[in-house]
Amino acid sequence: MKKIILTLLACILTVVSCDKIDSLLDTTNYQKADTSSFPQTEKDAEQLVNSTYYSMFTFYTGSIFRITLFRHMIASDDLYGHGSESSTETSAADRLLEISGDENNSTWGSYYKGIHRCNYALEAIDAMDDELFTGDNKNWYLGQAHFMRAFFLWIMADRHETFPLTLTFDVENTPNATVDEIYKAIADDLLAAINLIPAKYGYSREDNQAGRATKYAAEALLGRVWLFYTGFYQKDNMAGITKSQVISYLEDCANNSKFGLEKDPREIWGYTNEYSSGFAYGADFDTYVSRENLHWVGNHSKETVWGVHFPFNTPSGQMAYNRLGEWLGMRNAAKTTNKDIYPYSAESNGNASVNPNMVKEWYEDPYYGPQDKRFYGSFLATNEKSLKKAYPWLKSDFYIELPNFKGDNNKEVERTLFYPKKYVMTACYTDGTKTSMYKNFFHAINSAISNSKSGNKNDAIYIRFADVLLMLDELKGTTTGMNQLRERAGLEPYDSYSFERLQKERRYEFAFEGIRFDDLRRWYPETAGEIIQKNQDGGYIEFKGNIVPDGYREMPGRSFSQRYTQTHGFWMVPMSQITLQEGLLKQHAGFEEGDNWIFTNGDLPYYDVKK
Amino acid sequence: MRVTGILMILATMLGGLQASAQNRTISGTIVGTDKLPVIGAAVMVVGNPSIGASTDLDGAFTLSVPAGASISIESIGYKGQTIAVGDQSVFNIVLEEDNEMLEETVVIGYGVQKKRLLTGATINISGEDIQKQNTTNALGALYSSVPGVNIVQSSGLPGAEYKITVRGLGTTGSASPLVVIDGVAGGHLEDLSPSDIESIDILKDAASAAIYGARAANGVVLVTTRQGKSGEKKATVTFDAYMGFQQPNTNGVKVVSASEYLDLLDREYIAKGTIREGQHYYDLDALMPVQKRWMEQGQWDGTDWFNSSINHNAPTNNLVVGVSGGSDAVRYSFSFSKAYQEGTLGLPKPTFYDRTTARANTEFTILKKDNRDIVKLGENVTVSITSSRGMNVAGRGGDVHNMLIKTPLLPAYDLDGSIYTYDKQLRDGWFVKDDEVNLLQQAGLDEKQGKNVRVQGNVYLEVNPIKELRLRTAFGFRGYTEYKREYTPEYQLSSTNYRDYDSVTQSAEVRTSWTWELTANYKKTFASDHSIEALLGTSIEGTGWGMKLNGTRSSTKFGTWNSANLGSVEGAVTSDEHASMGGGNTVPYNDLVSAFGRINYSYKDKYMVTAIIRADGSCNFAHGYRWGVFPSVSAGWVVSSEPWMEFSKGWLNFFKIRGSWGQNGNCRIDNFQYNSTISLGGFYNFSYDQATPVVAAYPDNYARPDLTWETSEQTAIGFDSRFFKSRLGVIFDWYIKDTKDWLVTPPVMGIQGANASSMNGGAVRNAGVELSFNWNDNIGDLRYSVGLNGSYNKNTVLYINNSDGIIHGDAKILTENVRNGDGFRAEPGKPIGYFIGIASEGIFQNQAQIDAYNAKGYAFMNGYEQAQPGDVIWIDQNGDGKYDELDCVEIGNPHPDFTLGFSLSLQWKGLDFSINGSGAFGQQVMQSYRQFALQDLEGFTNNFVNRLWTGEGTTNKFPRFSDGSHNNFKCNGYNSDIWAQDADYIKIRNITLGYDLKKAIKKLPFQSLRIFVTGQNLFTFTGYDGMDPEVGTGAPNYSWSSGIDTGYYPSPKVYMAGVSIKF
Repeated sequence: MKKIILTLLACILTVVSCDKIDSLLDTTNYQKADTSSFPQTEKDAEQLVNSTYYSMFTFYTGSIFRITLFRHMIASDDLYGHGSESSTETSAADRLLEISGDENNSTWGSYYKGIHRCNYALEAIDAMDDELFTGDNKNWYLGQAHFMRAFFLWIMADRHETFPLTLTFDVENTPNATVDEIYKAIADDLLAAINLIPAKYGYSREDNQAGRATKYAAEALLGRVWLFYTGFYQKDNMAGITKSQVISYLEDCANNSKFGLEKDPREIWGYTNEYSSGFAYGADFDTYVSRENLHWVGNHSKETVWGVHFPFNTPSGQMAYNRLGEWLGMRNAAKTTNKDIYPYSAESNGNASVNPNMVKEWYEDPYYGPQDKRFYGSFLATNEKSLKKAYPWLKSDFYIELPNFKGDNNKEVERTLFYPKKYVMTACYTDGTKTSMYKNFFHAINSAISNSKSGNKNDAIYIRFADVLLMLDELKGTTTGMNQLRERAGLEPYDSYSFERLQKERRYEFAFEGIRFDDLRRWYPETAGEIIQKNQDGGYIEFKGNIVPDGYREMPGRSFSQRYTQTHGFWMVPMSQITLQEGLLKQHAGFEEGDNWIFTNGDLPYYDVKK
Repeated sequence: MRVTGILMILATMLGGLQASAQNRTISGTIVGTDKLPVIGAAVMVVGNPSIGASTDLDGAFTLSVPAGASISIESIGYKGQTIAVGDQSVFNIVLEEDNEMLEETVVIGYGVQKKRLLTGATINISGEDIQKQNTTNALGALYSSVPGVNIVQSSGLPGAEYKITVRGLGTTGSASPLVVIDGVAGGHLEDLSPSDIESIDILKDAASAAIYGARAANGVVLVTTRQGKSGEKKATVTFDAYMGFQQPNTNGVKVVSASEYLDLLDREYIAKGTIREGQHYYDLDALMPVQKRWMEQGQWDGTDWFNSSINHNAPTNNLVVGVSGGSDAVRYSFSFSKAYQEGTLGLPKPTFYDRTTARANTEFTILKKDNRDIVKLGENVTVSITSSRGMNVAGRGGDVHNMLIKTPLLPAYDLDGSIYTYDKQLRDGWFVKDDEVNLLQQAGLDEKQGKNVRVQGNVYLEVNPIKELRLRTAFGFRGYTEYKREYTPEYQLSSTNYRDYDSVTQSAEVRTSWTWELTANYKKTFASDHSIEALLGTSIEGTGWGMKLNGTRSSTKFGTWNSANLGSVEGAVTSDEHASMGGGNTVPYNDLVSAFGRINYSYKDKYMVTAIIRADGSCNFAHGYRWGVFPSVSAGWVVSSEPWMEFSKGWLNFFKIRGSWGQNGNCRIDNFQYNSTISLGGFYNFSYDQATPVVAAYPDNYARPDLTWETSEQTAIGFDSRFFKSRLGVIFDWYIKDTKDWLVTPPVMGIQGANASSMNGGAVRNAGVELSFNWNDNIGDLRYSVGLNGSYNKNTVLYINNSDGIIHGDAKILTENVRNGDGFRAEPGKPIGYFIGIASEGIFQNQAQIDAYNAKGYAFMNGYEQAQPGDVIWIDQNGDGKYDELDCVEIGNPHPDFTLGFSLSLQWKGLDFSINGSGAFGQQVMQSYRQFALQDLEGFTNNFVNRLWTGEGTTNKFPRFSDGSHNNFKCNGYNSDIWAQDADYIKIRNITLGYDLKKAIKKLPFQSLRIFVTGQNLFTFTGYDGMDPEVGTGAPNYSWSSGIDTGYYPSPKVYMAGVSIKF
């Protein structure tokens, strides 16, 4: 008996230990390559670099909280939360709150996916033989991967302040890095990008170049990050990079990049397209754009030093579109396109309304006012009857773009009747006869697009050339850039530089572009909250069709300035990541146990107003 | 209709035939060894069971038999006898008591074994018992007879799968048992007609299952299809058919009418102060003037979308023809079956399942010597062709859910009976809600047709060079083909839900896999008392060639379903903006290479021991982690055969104690997770025209080079016993099963930057007992049997290996508002997939109670509304004045503690009656038939309304009516116990009454002609207020979650009648 069992065992163990048998199980993955076999060619390397760009799409398709640009627009003093009662994400972003402990979770993962892809591209391409590459392409690819990693790290630093720094392909569970470690990593990557990416690649419409990160984008981003770091943390250099070095990088960008200003500041934005105005059909649909004779320059503007570019057609099942348009539009009860809202799409959610205090300030400023092309070019006014009642300070010649548009009285909260329009989702007639309509003008450009929302393909612009000019002015105390912008906006030049003038110029040039919030944070790291609260409190608002007597209000016990003092404008680290990282990952101040950071449905302080 | 037609033709054809023989009468008495008469023993003519009698109270019988016949005498508890009649006419027969009744053999994997010698825990169900239940799927017939095996149908959709859990859920990965059909692992049980099944054996303990070690961690289901038997020289032809109709088992759930609905909303907004008494929240004159008139004139009161989609009297029918027989040289069994079942939901296009099967099992003796088969060759092949139309039944967003939450204010039909379209919304000025879509119109849009063709079977060669040795090699194969054509016309369902082109999709897929095994079986008895049986074998399983293709084109030439195909489109593919094309293929590879051995030893059939070892290598793991070795030992002792047990002979016929220990494995995961693969699925656009994307490549998963086998280890002890002349059978089992090194895909840390791969992640313990009783006896001519079984199982997670020790489930299991934390999870110390949330301790009945709580420092919800009577009293577990993650506790367990099966069958002369059922106790179901995402236009079901608090003392479980954003329904966005319900139930699964006409009309030219009526699922006893307490759905994409009811396709009540003929 025993013998038999032992023989049996021996037989089986022989089988198991035999290499020939084991190799019967070797399988080759014909569907996918793996890290042991990829990359092998220059094309592989290029595809790895492409994936770092691909990561950016995911930030634009999901929740509002994914898009830093959007949240910073809403958190600033230029826009209110708006939306409906169920747009808790917007209301929370407006008041530096969160709606759940995990709202940033998927984005957190997405950014790290981007970083992970950069890490792999950098390690794998670096290990490849130089001979495999044409010319200086190896450096070009490596430089782009460095740029992309710096960009992701910067956005993370901007959102969360500190986080685990993962700069290698193999990742261990690590705690938050220090602020200085993070900015050192960003600086190193940007310097590497500046050194590695050949200078010959500037603004270009050539295939395989349009939309790629350039040396100049790295210089411009370095300017943005340097200004934030030195301003917000009150330092005089960033990882050893001095002010004069930043100036020379920015000057290189300003002079040698082939990027430049467009002729009219409004023509950067999609709403000026010629399908909505009728120009494309040889017609005039009598819109703001047709009256002002504006012609959209299209995506890939020469002013876009760095932005996300969305493809018109995507591989099946994949999403890549700019959700900003869906949120930053007008909310229309019927959701059907009609003439009261033309040329704008009726399918937006209306998640942002312009702070009327900002409108008033701009309107009444003798150096700006309605003659500033950017004034009516950046936002629009609706509902003539209510508007005139709400804002007695408007003069009779105030331009009301959609006088008959009523919005959605049942749903809208914090409505000011003013809407931002740089990213607005825009419809158009299908031909000159005005009989039928595309809910998104991109449908007229490319027939593959038929969905109004996922057809929103505007560039999401991070750094405009105008910003390079204004950064230089700010660093050097000059008016060169400001006056170029003022001239193109139809305004008289400034005779001399002042910080206040620079601040105003930035505010109006970049109105509703998601830049103001960080500007305030770097200029006033401690008091930005008070400034924003002061600028936005009391503005006229309607809450579900009812006028709120004293206007925009703060949350009882957690006003904007209180929240700013707690958080300094940073966002919550997703709770599930803290759990997953077994206590190594730390929550940001202001979102800890007891900080009262949650905004829930019904928290808006206006319910007493409801009839 | 078709079935009856065929029946009638057959009856006419055969009606003329007559049996003729010269008969003579015999008589006699039958007594036991104790000289007492044996009552109710069956006396039958061998080869013609239609001639028979049973003994009376004195044990006497008379019978008219043909010349030269033999008679057989059978009675429960006695050994059967066969006697040649010869010239004798009076018989005094003494029956010997049968203490064994265990000579029958059962299938154990790569062989059979005498039941008496089994040392493991297995269940054996005969095909006859399965067929009697008349279910479309054989698993549907097992409910009442499988202690320790939990069967839940995933929904009542025709053809829906069954979830089988053997001895408790063992993993968060793939937890279904291995199905082995005629020795071929991994087959589809649903492709077999239940009538094709000879027997089903379920191996529950590790020792029994160990022979399939590699994939046996979740138990093994062995299916044997019907085989021909030598000696059946004349072919037996069977014909079985039934037809019936079905009704949905909705338990009365419906959506409230429009007027009730509007009243509910008004009540809510009056309470909230939004409107005053007498005012209405909705201005119907402005929003739906026409429907308001309809309501006033009593022509319409809202749409109950759910009930509108019910397909009343949905037909079901089945037809089976079988032929079997055999001689010394050839044994054969063929069958053909056709089953059709329509679903009870899904109008206007009813769901259905249609299956045609053909089976051929044959065996040839090629070489025979000394009455012993030396070389045998055979094959078993089943081909099945199925087609179906389904619905998305799972979870939120599923079709059933959508029908339940749909606003009643939109008409489904116009007054003239036509579909209420978007044009009619515009015509009537229906403005209640943007973008409302008529679900019935939408459900009727798509057309699809397609078939799945599956072939499964094996060919084998068996050589017996010497009597003791049997060598066998078998090649098993499975082929799967699917082809489909789908068409969507142009439509406009609402302002934004439209399509201005039609499109057609065609797809086809072929998959194959194979198994090759070699076994040697040696069996010998030494010195008459020592029996030994040894098995040695190897097997290789592989994936064969496969491919798929699919394409979509739009704007077809003729714009009709019948003419739509990929070719009927004008213009080039490149000009078709909606065109798409896809494809894939598999290149053959080996999945699993195994070697195994088994040895059984028994002494005097009294002491037995079995040892099994199996080694498996799986291609799913990297070098060095591929091999798993799974051993087991088991032993049995027939105590009742001991001489010192002589005293109990009078009442104890058989008593065997068995015990076992063993390990099994599981490797069911996707391949290549041991390295980091590169996805080419990304893209970006570096062109100015934005129209020429380029490929982006990235590492998409986190490599787990050390990934290896999941192991389940089980220790089990039990006994088999028979009492009172074997009339009473009692089986008991106790087990502890630990499943460790789970193959799980837990969430990775975000900083890892890639998707998760499976890892060896955790362990769970299932411990339980099973007990079953069976009583068989007869009273006069009445034979009866009663079965009762129950099992208890406790599921406890032992540890989980990821960083926080928890596998998190989805938060939004019920509603959109409940979005924080987890709705369910796997966590040490708790059952897998237990429900977590904030607990409540009742409802505030009055202001005084609120004040009292307030005085004690009760933590009111944040927000503008303070508590009022009718609000939930949430428990602030840590007393910190807030409700958050830290206050979440276990609020329910989806696993039943106790399951029950029972059956009763009676036979009297030609009449037979049976009833059986099953029950489950101790489990909870999370239920919400509403989304609550501030959609105040969602429908309400009556069970929700009935549960509401409506004043002091009405209920202490469920809050007052308020809008969905209220914390009563979402407690700060967390899941809560107001949604948890006990879902204990007992279901009467099957009631059948049959009669064998042959008993009444002896002249019928058949061996038997049984007609029957059956009712399935007629009664459910439960306190659960949803549709069906047997909830087969969990959260979508979480195979380990269960018991979540957001609207469910209930199993139907079936009424049927049929006939079963044997020629």
